[in-house]
Amino acid sequence: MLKPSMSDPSTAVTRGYNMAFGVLSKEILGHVFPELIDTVLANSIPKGQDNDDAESRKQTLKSILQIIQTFGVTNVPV
Amino acid sequence: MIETFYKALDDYAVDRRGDVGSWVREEAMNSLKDYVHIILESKDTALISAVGANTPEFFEKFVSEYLQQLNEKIDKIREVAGRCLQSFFKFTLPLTDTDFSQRSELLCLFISEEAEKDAFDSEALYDKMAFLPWRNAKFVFSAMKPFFDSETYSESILKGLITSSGGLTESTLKASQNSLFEYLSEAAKAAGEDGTQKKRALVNKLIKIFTRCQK
Repeated sequence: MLKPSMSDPSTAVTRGYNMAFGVLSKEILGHVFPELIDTVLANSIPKGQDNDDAESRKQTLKSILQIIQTFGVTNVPV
Repeated sequence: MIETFYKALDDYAVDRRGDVGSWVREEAMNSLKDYVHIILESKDTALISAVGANTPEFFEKFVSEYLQQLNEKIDKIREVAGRCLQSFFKFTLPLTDTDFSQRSELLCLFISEEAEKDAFDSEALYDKMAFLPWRNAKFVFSAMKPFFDSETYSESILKGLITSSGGLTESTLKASQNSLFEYLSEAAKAAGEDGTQKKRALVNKLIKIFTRCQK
C-alpha cells in the first residue's frame, strides 16, 4: 500500500503520497504502524536512483514531524 | 528518527535546477528544531534519555549542524538556520538545564537584548521574535568569528565557510573570504607557542574536513 511513495516513477505520485502521510488521523496511523515509519524514514534520504526527487524528500520530512505531533512523541520510535 | 533529520541536513543533491538539496536541508532544520522542542517539552525522562537530550554531546551536535548551515552560501539557508537557532535558544533551551560547550556565549549571540533591539528596528516581527539579519553575509560571518577557535564548533563553521568562500555569489564570497582571511592573518601575527598552536589546530581541522569530503 505504501510502496508507490518509494518507487513510483512519477514524482507527482511520490510527492503526493509523502505529503498525505502527514495528514493521516491517529486511528489510521495506528493501522499502518510501524510500516509507515520505516517508509517515511527511507523516503527522506536519497536512494541514489534516477527518479530521486528532492521535493518528495522535503515533503517526507514535513510529514514525519506531523506524524509525531498526531501520534504522540512517546509512541513513535526515537 | 533524529538521525534521519541529521542525514537530511547533509543532503547536498544537485540536479539541472541547481542545489535542490537545499530544500531538504531547509525543511530538516525546521522539523528537527520542532522535534527537539517536542521531546524536551514532553518532560518524559525515558524519552529524553533515549535520544540523549540530557547530555552535552546532544546539544553540541545539534548546534554544530545548524552553525554549519548558518555559514553556507545560500541566503535563504542562512536565514532559516539563524532563525531556528534563535528560536531554539529562546524557547527550547529554557526547557533543559543541561550545560554544553559555550552555552553562554551562544546565548549572548542569539538572544542578546541589544541585538534584538536592532532587529526590532530592521526586521519584521514574526513568531513572537525579532529575528536578526541572517541573510546578510557580512553580519553572519563577523558574528561567527569568536567561534573560529572553538574546539566543538569550529569544524562545522569552517566547513560552511569554505563552501561560501568557494561560491560564485560576490557578496557572500567577499564577506566569507574577509572573515576567513582576517582570522588567518590574526593567527599568523600571533607570536610564540600560542600562535603556533593556533595555526597547527587550524591546519589540522582543514585537513580533517578535506579528508572527510574527499570523494
